[in-house]
Amino acid sequence: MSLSSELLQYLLSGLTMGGIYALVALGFVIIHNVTGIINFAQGEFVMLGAMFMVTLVNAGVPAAGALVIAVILVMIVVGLIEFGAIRTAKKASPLTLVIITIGLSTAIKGIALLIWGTNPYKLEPFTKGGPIHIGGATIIPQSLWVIGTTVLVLALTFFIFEYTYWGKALRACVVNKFAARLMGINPQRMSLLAFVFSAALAALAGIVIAPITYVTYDMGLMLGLKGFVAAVLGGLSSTPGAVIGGLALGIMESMGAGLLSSGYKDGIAFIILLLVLFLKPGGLFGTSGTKRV
Amino acid sequence: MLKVVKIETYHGRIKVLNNVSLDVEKGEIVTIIGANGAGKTTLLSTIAGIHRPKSGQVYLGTIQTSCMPVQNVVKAGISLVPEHREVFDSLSIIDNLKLGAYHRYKTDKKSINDDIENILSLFPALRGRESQLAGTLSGGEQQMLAIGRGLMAKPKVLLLDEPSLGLAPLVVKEIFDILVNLKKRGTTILMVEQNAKAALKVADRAYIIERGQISLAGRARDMLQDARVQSAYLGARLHA
Ligand SMILES: Nc1ncnc2c1ncn2[C@@H]1O[C@H](COP(=O)(O)OP(=O)(O)O)[C@@H](O)[C@H]1O
Ligand SMILES: [Mg+2]
Repeated sequence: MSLSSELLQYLLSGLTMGGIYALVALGFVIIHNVTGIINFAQGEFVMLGAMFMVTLVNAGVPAAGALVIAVILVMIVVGLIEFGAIRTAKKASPLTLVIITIGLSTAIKGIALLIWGTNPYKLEPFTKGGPIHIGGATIIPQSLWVIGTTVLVLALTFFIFEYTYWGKALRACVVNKFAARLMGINPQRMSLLAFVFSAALAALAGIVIAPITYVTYDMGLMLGLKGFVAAVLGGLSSTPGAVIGGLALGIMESMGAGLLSSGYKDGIAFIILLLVLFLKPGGLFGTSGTKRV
Repeated sequence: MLKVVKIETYHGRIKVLNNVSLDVEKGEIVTIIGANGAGKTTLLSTIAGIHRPKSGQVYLGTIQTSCMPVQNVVKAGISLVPEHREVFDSLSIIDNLKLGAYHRYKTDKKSINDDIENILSLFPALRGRESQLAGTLSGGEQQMLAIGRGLMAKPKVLLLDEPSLGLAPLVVKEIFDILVNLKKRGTTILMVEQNAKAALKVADRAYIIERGQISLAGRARDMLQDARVQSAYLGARLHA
């Protein structure tokens, strides 16, 4: 394999994982922008999406239907969590709320362990067929599903925030929470909306990545942390930043693992996190002044 | 129309409003004049539901609004145009106006475009720039947008917190002329101001607030002539 086709290979696998990180990062950013909370349970929402999907498919539900049901189930679970655990502690400081999300993450993981055990589950790829060859590199069809889903979801997110009334109401909360309240926008309802929307993004990420990585009760930890790193890389309050941060992280990881050693793969994300926090706390693309969704 | 009865509001342990009562009749412009720190913003925020009074009540018609969350106060018909305008800077003019109608958006969708048209005819400076970001407007234009956004809620009473703040005298005049126009269309306005002269000229009645207490109430026309008001708020010297 020539160096250029090798690089292309790393780029393609980097984009695949990067798409997943982008979806998770977007969830972090949306919740952070609307509520001020960094939701460390985001990774568990990914796991729940994948687990529900596997369980439904194994129970004989056709994949397309299982996907829709799994996403909706995660949205409902997260909606209940927001209602029960976040809203009741609304008067608490943002730091307390962040710690609550860490507790939630541990709790969800524990419950998942009780329900699904420690065994990894396998989900069949969405479409059958061998790897596809592109200019000396190969890509598996499921990677195309991941990339396609990411593009579609990002376009939909953009559309919602840019062109729908509800999206604009969410943005109003981000731009000026006080004024948003004066318009009669209920901050609690917006918080619920942000959590449920982010849950859908996370669930989708978990479902499309499941055939590539296997599904385990603890898969949310790494995906959540990587998504967080991607969000920080993008400045934590910008949605385009989250997407670029996710893709950049995926590509850097894949290049680092390929060119140096695959043992460094997970370490790379955390080195990047530390570098960003030390050198550029506003994120690589951070426009520290104005906040935008 | 709007009735405030013996309100006491605290910031932490400090009592900021002390036994404040006032009322506003339908179609009136009523102004509350007071120095910096007198409690004007706290008073309007209490009426708008942002602060909860420790005692006392606010009534809009027969509805008691002083126990409601902000969104219900807005629905009941009280809309606050806040100090410093607080427009949504990174949203367009048209989106700012549409968001003003948030509480009736679902039920009243059809009329919203007509209402925006009305607001634009009231503030011609905003017309033709609907897609411009609010943050790029001048201070006076932002104030117009903030008032327009408040009107989009179709309030029974519009609360204005220092609409003249930081604006040049000519712009202040332009905005106060619009308030007179609004009154002619039947809008009821309660406005707090430090710019006593401009406010008293357009108002029907006025209250003076000092350290959280109403110290004087009367017709705006009489206040302009009142020696105490002149010396304290209109910059006039007392005749020897
Ligand atoms: N959020 C707050 N916390 C504590 N004190 C406040 C707060 N807001 C206002 N105050 C105090 O309450 C008093 C009245 O303030 P305010 O209502 O803003 O007056 P005005 O609008 O007339 O300038 C001032 O002494 C101010 O320092
Ligand atoms: Mg004030």
